[in-house]
Amino acid sequence: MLEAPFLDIRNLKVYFPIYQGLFRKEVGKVRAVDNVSFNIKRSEVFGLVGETASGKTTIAKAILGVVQPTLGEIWFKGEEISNFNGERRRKLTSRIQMVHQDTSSSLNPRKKVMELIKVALDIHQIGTPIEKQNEVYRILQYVQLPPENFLYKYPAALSGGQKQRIAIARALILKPELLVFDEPTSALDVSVQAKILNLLTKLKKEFNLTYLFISHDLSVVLNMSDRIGVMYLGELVEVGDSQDILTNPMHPYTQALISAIPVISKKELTMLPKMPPLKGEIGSAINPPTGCRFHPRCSYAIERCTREKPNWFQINEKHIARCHLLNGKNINFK
Amino acid sequence: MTFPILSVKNLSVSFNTFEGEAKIIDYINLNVGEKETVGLVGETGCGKSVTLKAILGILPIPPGKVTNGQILFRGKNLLTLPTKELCKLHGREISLIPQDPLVSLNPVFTVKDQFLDLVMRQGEEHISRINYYKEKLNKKKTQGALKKIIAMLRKVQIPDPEKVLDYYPYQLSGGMAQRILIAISLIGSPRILLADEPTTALDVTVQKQIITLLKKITEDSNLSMLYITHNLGVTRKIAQRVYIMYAGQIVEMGEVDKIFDEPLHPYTSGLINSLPKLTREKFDGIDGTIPNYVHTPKGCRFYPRCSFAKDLCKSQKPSMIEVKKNHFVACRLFHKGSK
Repeated sequence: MLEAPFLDIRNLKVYFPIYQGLFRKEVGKVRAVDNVSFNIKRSEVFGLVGETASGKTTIAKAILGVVQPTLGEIWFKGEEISNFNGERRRKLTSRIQMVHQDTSSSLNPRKKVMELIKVALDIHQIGTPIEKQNEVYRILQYVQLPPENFLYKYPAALSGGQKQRIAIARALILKPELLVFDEPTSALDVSVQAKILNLLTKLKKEFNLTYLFISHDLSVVLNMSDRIGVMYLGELVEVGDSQDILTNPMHPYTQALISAIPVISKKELTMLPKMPPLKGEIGSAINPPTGCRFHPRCSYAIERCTREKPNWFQINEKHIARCHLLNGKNINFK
Repeated sequence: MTFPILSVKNLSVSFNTFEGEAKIIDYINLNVGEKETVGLVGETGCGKSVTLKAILGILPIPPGKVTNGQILFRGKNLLTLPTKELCKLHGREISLIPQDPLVSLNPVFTVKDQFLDLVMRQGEEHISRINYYKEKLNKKKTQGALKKIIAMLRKVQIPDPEKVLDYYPYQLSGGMAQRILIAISLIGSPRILLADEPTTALDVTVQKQIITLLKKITEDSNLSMLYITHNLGVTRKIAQRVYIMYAGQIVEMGEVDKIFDEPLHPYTSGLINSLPKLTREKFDGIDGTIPNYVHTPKGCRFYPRCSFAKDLCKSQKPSMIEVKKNHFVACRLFHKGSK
């Protein structure tokens, strides 16, 4: 029998209603995530990349149960988890943990590091007080912060990188199987970012973890992940092996995204597809464009793109993309 | 480098804090030539914005104070210039593109209002309220100004500028707001643009648009630009020369290609090694954090984090030496003409 995927997201839709007027009549919907399907295998790093407002964070929140999916299913190790609540959800949270984007606002400024990390153990009632303390000690060593120096500090006394390490420790202490990272390094300087990314790679090996890695920075995602999903305005447009996505991007949006990476070395410059900057900016998820949502900004767009949603095309075993032009024709710059 | 239009000489800025005097900017020298785009690169807290504020004369004094140095703009020392003179320079000769586009526009006025005031009132220190409204209601005067504004909005590639004029900032996207700010900074036809991380708040695809636009504008109208950023890749795209700044000191200076392909200073190479690359090479950060500005290291400010540090680095401050042609570095590891 085929092994069930570790995490399987099927036709996930998350809509947020917009209310207006005295009787709070629903006047529209923000289609934050629209029909997204992908799966993550065990001990894999799956990267989600896309611009602001493309729905990356909403997917993460739906997996954690912070927002309720409008439609669709989320399967985690053979269980449908999207409608878990109460005790079942609480048990599940120890297996799926999230590291948030902005640590200076996600860590309680009135709690010390010790309390910040221990709170997860308290909620899940794991161990005696002494065991809890030892566990905090152990986990701080894993994130390379000497416990003696940090246990009784407030977040305000820590630098950005240190705060991010605390946030990672907090997620790790429950020994989760899946970790969701929502732009873990976007607030950090490059020299600190590199340290944190290397730490994540090391922890993954040590604890045999599975990552869902969300970022807007394609060069970070390319280096971190095994597979990548590219999102645009609530929809996935391309999924594939990260090396394959870089060397052989199929969707025009992926190509534009890669060509816009500000690279540094001459060698990298030759790797970028040469193309003019994209027109305009990401549209609104309230009234998304008909047909392919990318068509108003696409320089290859044909009439068909404005009315029909494109289908998925298999490019190779692991690489799929969603564009009308792929139908028999290769739109790659050759 | 051509004759410098803006030159910062031995500038030092310090701030009075509870812990003592924080020496933020430590004897920096910086030149921006005519028709040249110069990058000033450094991480958070290295003093990029303080340098910019000193140039613009908007340092909060006190607690800040300029302890040493000159800022020469076409021969005039901006630090000693009276406020009246300085106001005349701002916008017309020197102008700023701020960092966060949506925060920098006033949310309660339309784009048109913000522009009109600027075009009609630029360089004036004070005007009576009656005269203000009199002129604003004078159709002939405003029509002329509006024409100028629309032409400028076209230049920064805003689609349908007549419509955009009536928008409030909340109706604009990040990229549009940044284009409007660029238009605002260009409207007085300045000689030099000071850009303070203008693309940090934007998405990469929009960032590429803005960079292409800025490049085109500076080339077309022979502008000089000081481009402040923490993003090395962006600097490579836009600038000709680059200054690398660390903890209030300039550690390396040279042409972009030279610095990024063969960095000399341990900090610069550390920074470049920290970037995740498309080639999937290994990347490693720099240990430690920037020093406390109140108790700065006596010698080289980078030495506590430097893996090549010698005893001498601890006690003596390195001076800028020209190692190769037009490639300066402040590090004890290098001598004139070495390597």
